Amino acid sequence: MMMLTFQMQLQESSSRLMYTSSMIDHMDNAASRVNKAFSLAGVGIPPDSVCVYTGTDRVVFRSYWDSASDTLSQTKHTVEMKIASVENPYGKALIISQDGTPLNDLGTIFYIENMSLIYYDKNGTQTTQPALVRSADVLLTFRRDSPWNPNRPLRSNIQVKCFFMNSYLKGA
Amino acid sequence: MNLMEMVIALLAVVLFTTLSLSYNQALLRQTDYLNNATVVVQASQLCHAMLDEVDAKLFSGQLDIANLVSSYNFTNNVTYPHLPETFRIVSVASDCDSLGRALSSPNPNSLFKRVMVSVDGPRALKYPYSMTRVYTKTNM
Repeated sequence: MMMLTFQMQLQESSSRLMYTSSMIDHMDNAASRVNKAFSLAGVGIPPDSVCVYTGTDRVVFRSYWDSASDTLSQTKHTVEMKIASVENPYGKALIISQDGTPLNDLGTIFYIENMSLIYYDKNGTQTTQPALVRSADVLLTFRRDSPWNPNRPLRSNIQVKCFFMNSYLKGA
Repeated sequence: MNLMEMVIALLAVVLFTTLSLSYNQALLRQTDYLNNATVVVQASQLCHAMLDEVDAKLFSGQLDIANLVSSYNFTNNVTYPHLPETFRIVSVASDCDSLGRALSSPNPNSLFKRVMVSVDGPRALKYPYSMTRVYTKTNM
């Protein structure tokens, strides 16, 4: 009996550890991807026209950078980041889409339960006006079901500060 | 149960307890490493954010590279409610050579400046996480 209990505990702990270790890598990749999306915003666009929509859970911005092919483009693109429902078992995902089409290169980031955005102007003061936004805090909550108990999901939070570098290059 | 059987039963209990203890300790260590790794991801983002802020201000002209050393030498304790953790952020800016090695004596006219950001604080973070960026004056 003792050995059985011990083995089960060991198995659950190992499963949790495996889940957590893969989640850490996923969090790092997601943070890098979000940062990349922001850093390529506003290429060829005046700083006060980069952001189209700045909501607490959704952001839309413009750029002449084609994020689908990772090249400079002749046409203006609209990039949107939002949390959307996807098929089970993922539940929700962070979708990065360009002109309405999710990007192939990590355009759909799974295991993200929530995203909150806080925006700042060029002096670091919090703002909600799209024309003034020059950087943003992206607060992400990652969630995965526990391998044994779905009522006790594994959650991890991360906070990423992203700058609209192209706006700063134009004098902010 | 005779005495020998009792001794064997006791030995079995001791053996299983020792085994259980050693496995649990190994798991605890592993969990500790993973907790540390989670915080390292966050710490690296904080370092990036600080250095990106310097980049942004230099790009826009809000900060002159000559004022980098005087503006980016500080220690801040910052609480992030979303995480929720408090991190100590230490920024050390100095004059350096082209390879990022600090000069033995400060030289305000140096073409190269270095900013090193270290983050520590949460108990899970075993060692401070540091990131360094070298800035070069290109506009004479």
